[in-house]
Amino acid sequence: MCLSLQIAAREHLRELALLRRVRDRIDRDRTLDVEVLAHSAGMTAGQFLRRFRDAYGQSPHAYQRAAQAVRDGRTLTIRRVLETR
Amino acid sequence: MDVTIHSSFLPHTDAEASLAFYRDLLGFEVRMNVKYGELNWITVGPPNQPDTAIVLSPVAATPGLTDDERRMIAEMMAKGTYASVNLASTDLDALFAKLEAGNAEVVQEPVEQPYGVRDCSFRDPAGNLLRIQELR
Repeated sequence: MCLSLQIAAREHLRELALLRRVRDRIDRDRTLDVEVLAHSAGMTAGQFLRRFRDAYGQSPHAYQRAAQAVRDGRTLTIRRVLETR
Repeated sequence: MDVTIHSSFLPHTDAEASLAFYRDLLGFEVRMNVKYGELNWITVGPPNQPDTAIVLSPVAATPGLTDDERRMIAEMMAKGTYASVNLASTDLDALFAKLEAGNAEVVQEPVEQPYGVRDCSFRDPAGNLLRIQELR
């Protein structure tokens, strides 16, 4: 791989790691202030929304709803298992 | 028949960073450190559980991966969707405080889950998700 491609690949992975921290923060703080989240990744709101969708296949709002649904589902499932024991 | 879990594998992208995390922050002992050229396998485990280990492995070493697959795994690790492990501790709050003070990447403060578990979570330096639950 030529040097400029290597640098681009490294930069891409670095940006994905930034997006991971933002996504974790959505889970941790249950927050969806796009300006704040974008700022923490050093991006504009527009950049952030685009890059997040590229990385995770959905908007931060859709991600938050899906993550909450998974948490609710997990709670329900585990409760049912406990109740039937 | 007697079967135990002997070792399982987590990928790393930076051997030194992962070693420092598991050894210095989690307090694991280093049982083996195998280097082959640029590749580095590090076997770590809790001192009180000598028969079970995690091998921190370089992803690039897996034979039979295409370049596309290698790239995809690197991307999934970076975005935090690739590998994870569940740990447990009797003193969750002390462990959390130690990891947080060591600048580990916090994902979740210790919380009482609605399904009866108290846990917290972190990322290791490679982006793997570590959930730690309280033993009670």
